[in-house]
Amino acid sequence: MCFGLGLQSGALLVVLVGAILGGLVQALLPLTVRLSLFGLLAVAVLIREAGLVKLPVPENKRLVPEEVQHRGRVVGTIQFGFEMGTGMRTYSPSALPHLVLLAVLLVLPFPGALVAGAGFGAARWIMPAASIGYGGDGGWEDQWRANRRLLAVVTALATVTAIAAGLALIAR
Amino acid sequence: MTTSATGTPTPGRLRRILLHPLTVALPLVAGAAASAALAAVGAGAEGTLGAALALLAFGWAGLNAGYANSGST
Repeated sequence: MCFGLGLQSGALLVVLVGAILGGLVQALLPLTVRLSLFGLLAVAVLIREAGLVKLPVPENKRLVPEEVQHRGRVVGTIQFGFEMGTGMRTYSPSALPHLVLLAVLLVLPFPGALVAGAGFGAARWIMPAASIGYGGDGGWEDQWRANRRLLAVVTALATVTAIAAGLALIAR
Repeated sequence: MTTSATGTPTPGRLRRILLHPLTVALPLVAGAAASAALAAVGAGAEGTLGAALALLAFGWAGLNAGYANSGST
């Protein structure tokens, strides 16, 4: 509960800032320019996730600081979730969070940005929940690593497809 | 032991199948495919429904992006 609250708070804070900045970007740049730019970036991310190119993405290559977890059961858990939700002090093995943030800046309407952020926060909760349910012995993470490339490709395709479908639905 | 005497998966084995990273990914990917199918057939062309479906699609994009980052803390 506290972890999920932290996750949602962190993710929503990031998309809120992104959506406010996106309001400026979207007001200044024509839709065709923004769509073209986003399309190019989406293709680059798809190629990266398929492992065809090495494309570094901004990430704070470290674990959430351990002292965060020592700040009490409630505060520590909320802050740990918050850190995971923002993704600002963690590793980011995937470029998909960056792509969604770019979508927030370039093409997503304000409510769409908030919902995307909520989805991101919810999905960050899946991993620990599934891992514990799987046995809590590191087996889930092993399975993830064994299928890492396949998971990267299908989630990348799904992310781009969902954004494109959403844009098509509001373009009517 | 992974199966009962009747050959059916034990609860523990079944739980591991259902919580396998690839199994968990299925509804996330299927939701994105469903949103594309809805967009392709013109669902919600009348406005409010289209906007609601679009929000759902954006939420699904966030879900997939968040899940893709599993494994990092």
